[in-house]
Amino acid sequence: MMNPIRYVRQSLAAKLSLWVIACMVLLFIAALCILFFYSRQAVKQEAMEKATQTLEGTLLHVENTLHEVEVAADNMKWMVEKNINSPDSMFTFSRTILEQNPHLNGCSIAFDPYFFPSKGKYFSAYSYNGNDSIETEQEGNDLYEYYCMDWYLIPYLLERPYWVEPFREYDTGGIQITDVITSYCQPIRNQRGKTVGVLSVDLSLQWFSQTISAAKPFPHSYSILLGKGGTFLVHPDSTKLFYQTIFTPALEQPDTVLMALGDAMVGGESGYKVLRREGKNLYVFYKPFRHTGWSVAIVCPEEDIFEPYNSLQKSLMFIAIVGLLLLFIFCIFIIRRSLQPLKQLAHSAHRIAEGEYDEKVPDSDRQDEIGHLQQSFSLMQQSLAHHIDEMNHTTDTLTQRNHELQHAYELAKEADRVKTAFLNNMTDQMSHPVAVINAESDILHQNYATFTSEEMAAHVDKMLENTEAVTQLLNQLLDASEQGAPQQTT
Amino acid sequence: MLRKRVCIIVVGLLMLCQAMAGAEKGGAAPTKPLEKFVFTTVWTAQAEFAGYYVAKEKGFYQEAGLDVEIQHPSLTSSVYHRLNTHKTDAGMLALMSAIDLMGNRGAELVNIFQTSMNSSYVIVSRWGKNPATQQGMKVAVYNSEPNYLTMILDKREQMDYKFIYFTSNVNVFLSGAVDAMVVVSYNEYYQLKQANFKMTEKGLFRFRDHGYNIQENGVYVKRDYYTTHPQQVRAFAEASRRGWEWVARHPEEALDIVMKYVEADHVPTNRVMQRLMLQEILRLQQDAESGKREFRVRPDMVKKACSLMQEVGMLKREVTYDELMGREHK
Repeated sequence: MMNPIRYVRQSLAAKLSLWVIACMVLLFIAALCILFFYSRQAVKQEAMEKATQTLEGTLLHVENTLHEVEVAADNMKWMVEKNINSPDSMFTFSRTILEQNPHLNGCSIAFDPYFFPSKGKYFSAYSYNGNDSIETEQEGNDLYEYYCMDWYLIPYLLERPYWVEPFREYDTGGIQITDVITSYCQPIRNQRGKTVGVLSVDLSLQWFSQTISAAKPFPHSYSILLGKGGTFLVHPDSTKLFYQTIFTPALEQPDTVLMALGDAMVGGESGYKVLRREGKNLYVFYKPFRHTGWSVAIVCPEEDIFEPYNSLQKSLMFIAIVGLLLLFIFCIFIIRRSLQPLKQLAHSAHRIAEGEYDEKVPDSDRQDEIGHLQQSFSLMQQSLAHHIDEMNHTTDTLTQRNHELQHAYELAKEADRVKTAFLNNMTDQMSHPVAVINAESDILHQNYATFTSEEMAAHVDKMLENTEAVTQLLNQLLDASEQGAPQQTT
Repeated sequence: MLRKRVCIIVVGLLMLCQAMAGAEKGGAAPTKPLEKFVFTTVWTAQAEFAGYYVAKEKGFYQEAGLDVEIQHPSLTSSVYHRLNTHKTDAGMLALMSAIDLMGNRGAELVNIFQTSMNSSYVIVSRWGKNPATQQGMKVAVYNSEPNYLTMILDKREQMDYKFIYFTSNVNVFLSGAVDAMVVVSYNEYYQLKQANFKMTEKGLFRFRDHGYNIQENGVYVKRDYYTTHPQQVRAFAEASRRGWEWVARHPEEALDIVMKYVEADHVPTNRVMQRLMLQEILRLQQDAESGKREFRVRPDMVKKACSLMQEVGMLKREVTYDELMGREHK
């Protein structure tokens, strides 16, 4: 498979396509960033509204029930205070309130120690809504001093109605209660307005737990209920119920966000906060109950809140990536197609470079730059072909002239050789008579004093004879140079 | 022949395993049967009794020849009631409670082991002011506790507190129904912190810092039991001390053991609270002067406790140190 980098280097289509894609990517990124930002805001806002609506709906549902309990207790309190001197009627009242309000667990109408002297130290008319019937008893003994319990003590001291934190009753004999209950407690006043007892109606926490836990706007969200001190009254993790408060983890490890959330919830505020737990963000939407001092919250993992946004993000990213890929392929295809004539031109140029000057450049009826290029290239090819023809002709002519010149050169060379040979021959022929002349001259020079006339004449004759020979040779040489083509002589 | 050799090897391996098991538990198994010993704590299962749990779980009692059963009191059966009715051999009591029972009710008790070296009582004011300066305020106190120091403070300093007796937890305080609450520094104090009640030192009155540092919990037996079972009593005390010393060296492992007892008793608490409790208990075990865990009753504190109680008419007669330690009989 071809190296991609090499492919890009060698392909204008790939380069152009990459540039187009790069620009598209930048545009997409900018557009998507803006889209994602506003989408995220919108999704977050919608999710928060959904969670808040669920929270408010749950709160309303629970508060309606709490209000019913309060109304029932308030109404019964009036009856109790009106009949405060009739202790036995308290049993009837405690039964009646349960008969009229079947969702209540129990009712206690309790008085100060010795308030009814005939009844002894302890007097609390208690009725309990069992499975099939309502049970009634007088509660209170040395082991169950009810006037020390929160449900009696707190409204008594505050002198106003009070929702007691959920609790589990002690096993003191008598009616056995296994539920965790919360109580709405009203102080009972005598005619002089002094608090002399407490009316308490009980509601099972299980009902709260079921109602609040059912508030689940998102698949992985869950609801919690905090008591006044931050105690977990409802929580999906049962190990936390009543055993921990929202502040417990911060006792050893400072956690300002958790503390702020706990403070806000326990302080009766509404709103939301973001917690970080186990590497994930949790959105906690909270709202207080109006009368109990409790606070309910819906905890939503961020992934649930932004699930639509994340889906949108994934879809868009997928579409963008696939789109860019397809665009890239399309660009390459189109550009390649558009540049096909250039390939043909390149092929033609290559052929021409190899010497195929008659290589025909394909015609084009395109009117664009490519068409112009093709036409220009065609003209260039024709012109080149013509020039090449002329050049070839000229080359042929020159080649012929060259041959002729070469021949003439050869002839000249031969003539020169002949001339040289002739000169050499002449020189050789001259050398003997010249040598004789030189010898005779030497003899005469050496012996002119001693030679006779006859000897002297003989030597001079010999010299004249050789001089004649040299003269003849020189005359031949002159004749040859005048004629221009020396003849070979022996 | 081969079969005989195999049997010898198997028996040898079994004996080796047994010896190793005994070694893991800290020593050789006792050769004589263990003596049953019932011990009752002063409250429900919590880190306050960690040393005893550890002594049981680590086999220190067993090594001392005792089969200890640890029980926790209920509202129907207090520690003294259980001691008196022989339902328990030893029980935890605060020093002043023991003095009260001995000096006022003629109980014959002997201290065999002392863990607390300091007072843990604190008055917490919800107004952030010194509780010892707020006369006439409503002070919540546990119904099941005698609250000696608070009563003594009230009478000595003429604070005119309105005592509000409550049964359990800190809700009466958090609800705003009272002005202050008496807590112990290892339990309710942290419950208030866990409820994020904003406490300042200015709003606290720590008895130990104001001349009221009286030791608290120790282990007591009836005098007749002390006389007839000296060895068991000594063994229990020594093993318990071993347990506490082990706790001081291995607090996290001790906490694991505590949580086991806490969960078995379904006590509404959590590990963080128990860890804080254990840390404070260990601090309270250190003598204020020596800084060491002395595990003893201080004679000066016995004298001081009697003096304070007698001063406000809480004690008919003085209980001496020797009497408390079983050396003297009245």
